[in-house]
Amino acid sequence: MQQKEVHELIDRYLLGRISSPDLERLDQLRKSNPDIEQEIKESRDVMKVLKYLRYKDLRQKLIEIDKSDTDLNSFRFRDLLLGITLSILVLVSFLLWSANFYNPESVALRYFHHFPDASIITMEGKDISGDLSLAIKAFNERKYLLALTKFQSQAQDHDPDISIFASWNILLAHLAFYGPDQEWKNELWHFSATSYAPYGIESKRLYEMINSPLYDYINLHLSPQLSYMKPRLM
Amino acid sequence: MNQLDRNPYLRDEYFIHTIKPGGCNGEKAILGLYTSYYKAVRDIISDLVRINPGCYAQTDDILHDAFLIMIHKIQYETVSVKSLKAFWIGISKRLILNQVRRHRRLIFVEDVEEDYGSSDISPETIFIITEENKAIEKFIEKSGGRCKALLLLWLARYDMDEIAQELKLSGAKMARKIKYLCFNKLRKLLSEGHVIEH
Repeated sequence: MQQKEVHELIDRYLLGRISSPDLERLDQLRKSNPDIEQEIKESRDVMKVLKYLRYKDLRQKLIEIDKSDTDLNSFRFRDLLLGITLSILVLVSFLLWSANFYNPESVALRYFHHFPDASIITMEGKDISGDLSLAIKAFNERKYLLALTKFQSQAQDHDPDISIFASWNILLAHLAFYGPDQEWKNELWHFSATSYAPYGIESKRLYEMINSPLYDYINLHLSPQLSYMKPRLM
Repeated sequence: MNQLDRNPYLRDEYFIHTIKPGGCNGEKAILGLYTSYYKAVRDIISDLVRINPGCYAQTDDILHDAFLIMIHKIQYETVSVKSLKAFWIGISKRLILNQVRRHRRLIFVEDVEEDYGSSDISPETIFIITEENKAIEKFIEKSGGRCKALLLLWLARYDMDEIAQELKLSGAKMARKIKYLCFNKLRKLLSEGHVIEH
């Protein structure tokens, strides 16, 4: 038997892949040739070292699988925590923004500041000095009660444009100072039904917003709760 | 849909038949087998360690030791098991009892009940290594990665073509030659009882 063939036989034996007839052949060789017996004995020692290394290597792979799983779990947990925190932040920000956006004073100011653009059509070339000017100034300075009084003095003006401009701003000053009570809503409805553009359209929009469920929810339920929480948060 | 994923017995049979001959597919199957069951087996081992206070080993060490013994048995011995998960748990249980016995000097009045598939489990025969072998290991580590990598692939029963492909060698012939040289070098070192200093 050639040397190469003997080595292959020993390799198969060491790897546990030897067939029964080959094993018998190898046993005979071991008995007849002490060098082969010695080689097999030494090779088995090498196999022990190699097996140790292989299992050490394999164990490292198993540890890496465990670790990747732990990393994945902690990553998932971290992600989840971050997601929840961000969601809470977004929700709280939205609620605070909504409470501020739908606050009666903010609504009144928004409509008041928006209107100069719209009222150019009706108020262009009109004399807005005196009480009217003072009323606008007071509204801008958020002195709503004063603005209300000044606008009321202009509500009966013989010029229908000035009269309707003052009536509209009376409604806004009332909204900013007292909030939207039922009587005010009725007056707004009447105003929107009897006024011409742009007052009619603007007042109708305001009426629809004030009566929307979202506005109701924010002003009747959310704002009081946020106001209650504010001192605690601070 | 893969039937192997649905039927655990078919899947285990597939694992045994792929791991036994080794090679590239065998290595993939080994890691696949571990990934399939390790969470469930770890939970059981954790319970076993808890109810056996004499066992001071870490759950993960038992898990890995038992897995390696199982792989050794599949590759080098004839195992007649149907459920590899049960086999793995059986080996783990025996390892834990060995630990308890060792630490408490416990003598059982009768032999413990035979665990599933674990007729002869002695991790020491697989993992023990002498000081001299440690020196050889050091030598292998330092003599360059190629020798170690090649011998480990050969031990994992990769055929020479696969080894050549894996290590980017010119061919099976070259792989066989390098394997022969590396193995013989190690054999000589061991037979001469060399302790290599580097």
